[in-house]
Amino acid sequence: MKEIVVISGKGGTGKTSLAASFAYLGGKDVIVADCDVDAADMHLLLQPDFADSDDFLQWGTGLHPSKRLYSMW
Amino acid sequence: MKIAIASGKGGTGKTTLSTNLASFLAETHQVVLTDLDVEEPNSGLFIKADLVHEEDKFKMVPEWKEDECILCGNCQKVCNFHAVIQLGEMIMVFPELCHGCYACSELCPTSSLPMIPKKMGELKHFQKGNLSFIESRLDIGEEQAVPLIAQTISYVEEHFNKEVIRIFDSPPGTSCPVIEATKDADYIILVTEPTPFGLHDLKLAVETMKELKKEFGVVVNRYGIGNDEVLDYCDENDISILAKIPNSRKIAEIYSSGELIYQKIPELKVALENITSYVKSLKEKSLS
Repeated sequence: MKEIVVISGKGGTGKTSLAASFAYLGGKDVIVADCDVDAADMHLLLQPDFADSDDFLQWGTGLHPSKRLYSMW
Repeated sequence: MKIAIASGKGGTGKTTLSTNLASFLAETHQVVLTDLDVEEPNSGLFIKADLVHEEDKFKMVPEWKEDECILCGNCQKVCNFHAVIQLGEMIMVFPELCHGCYACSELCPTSSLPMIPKKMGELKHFQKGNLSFIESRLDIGEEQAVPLIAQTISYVEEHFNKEVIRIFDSPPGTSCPVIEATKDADYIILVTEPTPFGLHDLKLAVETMKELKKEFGVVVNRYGIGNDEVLDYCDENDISILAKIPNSRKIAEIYSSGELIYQKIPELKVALENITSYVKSLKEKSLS
């Protein structure tokens, strides 16, 4: 099993609770990504130490598209 | 009077409050309830009304006409959303990414990107007594909720005079769809639950409303679970709590059978009366 995505149509059905539980059961080799970027709540449950934090940069407007990929990666 | 019902967190009770408040108000007023959660509209499950009109909704997207195109690449340069890409001697348009801004089309030196309508969803208009209900539904595969939300609000403005009370059931979150759904409202009701999750997302929603310079108040749903942190936060930040809806199995059972709650639970009717009189007093204050 490489990747499990937890989604729902309706809000508040338990995505975060279920995903956090999966992560807990998965032992050490687990990466958890909270993709609910509007209102990310996973950290409230897992209470991780933040090792690193990055600003998210939007692709530069006006850049030539061939250069945009570089600015992303 | 335009009231938008929003929340940061999903599943806090926006639709429950919207449908009950609209139906309650419709006992004595002309009301139009609009479900702007176009990705997952649910208000219709609670509103039993007759369909009086339906129409397809379109957004304008560019279509490449290769005959006159000189492959200057201007279109892809001006598109902020990568909806127009030049691939060799070809221009590719990705309509799902298009925000309909017309920049590529207007700035094309050879007019090779005329805008054409593309269906993005459907609007339905229902009626029952004093209550009108408008619901829009985004087509599967469409990425942009905002154009459909904007057109749905325009439909309401065109079809109902100013005396009709407008209730907008907004999408969850704090990004573009929420902004579109709330930016023209006179008052915003933020629905939350008294849990760490409810509090965290309420703070985001409050920040959003402050940014929009909107008047807002909070309704605490499922009051009795969790802790008092939401109440403390509202208290410390001078945010009005309009109502507390108790956590109750009876309410959950009525909700889960798709019925309105206030007719069976007197406490909720009192809560709706309080919300109504508070919002009305604000309106009178703003008029005087």
